[in-house]
Amino acid sequence: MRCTPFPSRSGGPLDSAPAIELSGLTKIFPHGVRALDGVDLAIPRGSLVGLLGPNGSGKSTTVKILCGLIRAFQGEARIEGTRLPDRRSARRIGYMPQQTALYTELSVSENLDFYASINGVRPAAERARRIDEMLGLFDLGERKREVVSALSGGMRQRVSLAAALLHRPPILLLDEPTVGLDPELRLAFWAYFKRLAADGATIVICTHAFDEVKHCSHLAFLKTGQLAAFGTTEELRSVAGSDDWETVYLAHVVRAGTAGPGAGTGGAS
Amino acid sequence: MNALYVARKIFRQFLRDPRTMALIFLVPVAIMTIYYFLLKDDLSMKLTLAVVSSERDSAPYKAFAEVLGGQKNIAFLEDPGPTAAEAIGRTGADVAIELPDGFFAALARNREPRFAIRIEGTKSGVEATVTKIVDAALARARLASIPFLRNLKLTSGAIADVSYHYPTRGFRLIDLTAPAFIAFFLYFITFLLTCVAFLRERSSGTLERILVSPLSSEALVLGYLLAFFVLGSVQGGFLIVFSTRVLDIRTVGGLAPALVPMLVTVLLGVTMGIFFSELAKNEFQVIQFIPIVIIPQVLLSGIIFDADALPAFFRPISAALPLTYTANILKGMLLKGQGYLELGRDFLVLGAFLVGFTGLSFLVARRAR
Repeated sequence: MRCTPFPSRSGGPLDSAPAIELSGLTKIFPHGVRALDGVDLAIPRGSLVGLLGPNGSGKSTTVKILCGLIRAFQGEARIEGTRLPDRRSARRIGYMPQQTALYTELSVSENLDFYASINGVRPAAERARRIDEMLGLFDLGERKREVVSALSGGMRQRVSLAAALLHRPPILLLDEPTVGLDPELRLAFWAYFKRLAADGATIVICTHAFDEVKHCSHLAFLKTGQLAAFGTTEELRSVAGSDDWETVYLAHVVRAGTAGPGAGTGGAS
Repeated sequence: MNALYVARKIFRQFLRDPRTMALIFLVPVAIMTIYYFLLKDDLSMKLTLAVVSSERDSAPYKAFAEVLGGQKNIAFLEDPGPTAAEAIGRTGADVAIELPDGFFAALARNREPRFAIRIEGTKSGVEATVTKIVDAALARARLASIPFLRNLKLTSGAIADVSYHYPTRGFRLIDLTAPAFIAFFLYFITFLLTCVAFLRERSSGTLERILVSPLSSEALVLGYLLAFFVLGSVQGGFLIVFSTRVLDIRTVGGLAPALVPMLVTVLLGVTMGIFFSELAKNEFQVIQFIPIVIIPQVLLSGIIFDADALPAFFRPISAALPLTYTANILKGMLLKGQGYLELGRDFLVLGAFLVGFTGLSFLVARRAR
């Protein structure tokens, strides 16, 4: 996969505000499950944040609140200063769900064209140009006319990522984007994410793959809906004094756990 | 032995799913009950019969009325208006009989008097049923007027002038029911397609992607409506041409005007499909909607069966089913030759269903919950 520079992003009037800001974010689902419990987090622009935690720790819930798919129960979430949910932030977000979320009976380019058009990429010629650019970038040019159901899992994952990027959003929310990919493609994905962040995009990636966190600039450790630690990758690693990321994670979770529930602010951003 | 494990697993799955249990036990009972009431009478139809006569106090008339009143499939109306035509116009009776002055006297003298049978014409098979019963009643009336003469002839000798209130004489059952059946079919297909399509949008994650985009839930629903409006127009147009040219379906004034109520019904199918997709977890549960949403409408809305034949307690259910109004409109347009103004009430109710379910599907497709 080649990596071409991502087109520059406009910062907007609130350039100084954190790209993503959570304060006291709490989500209790109707059936009583407390998925998030008072999470405070300020993510600076241009960071590549790994949201790390086991299943049920609140990663997907956080991303869904940021996408505007679900409402916070208490507290608030802001994207570029706009309190969510707010339709105006929709254009600024690129979302890649855990499932590939493509129309399997449509071709690769038809899928991309649909997502580009509902995200306001106009006119058609501009869409076609960006789709070709993406297909080239993700090495899918040969397969553009094939229906998605004929593609392998890795190819679908690439199409799915492309679908989230076509409108060049400054905020990317990716829910386990590298699950099921072979190591080579995984590395290519991470290289691309780093490139996007360097270009100014703010990227939040849910993952429970400890071997991948080294690629991130920042990490947020979640445990049963609480934020155990947040800081730069280097900070968190040196505080725990280990190179093994499972050990680092556990050290921070234990530290936060002894401080009592709700104590969820680790290092600085 | 291994087959037992499979069977045990299947039973456990059934028991976990109350909806399937209801489908297996309750739904067939409910549907069989409706079906029973629809078809239990031998003649399979209930008729409202109005009689216009100035000699209602005479003995032969009373004998005549007694026979008709004793028929369990006939609701008997007296003094409905001055003429048979007006009687149907005023009361909506299926049949009106007009006996001229001096009719019974002529009947008693074997003069083969003439009388009028006017048939409303939107139900099939009325003419054959009615002429037989009325003649038997008149034969009894003749006996009552000449008590000393025991004439055992079973026919009255009176001559019926049969006319049709709406120009549907010679229409077959297929002509009377085909338009509503086409509308039902378009509705059914649209309902299933949108229900499954929307369910897939939800289960595959594409709905999430759409909801995260700037596209509004209203635009999403309107997009579905637009697509099925085009599809329904083509499908409905084709079926209308096929029905008239190939199947030779006859209607009053052609089938083309039926396209408008058909398309309203198709759009209703889209919004109901989207709404019901919210209640289904998978494609199997969409199939479960067929006996719950579709079959009751087939039986109770007057699409194929005559809903008037049902006991009164089914009326409110019929009135709550959207296809009842589609069937009314199509019957009015294609059999009675009525226009939009006369069918305004039915169009209004059908439109209200469409608006209501469109609102519900906006809710189902909304963004942050």
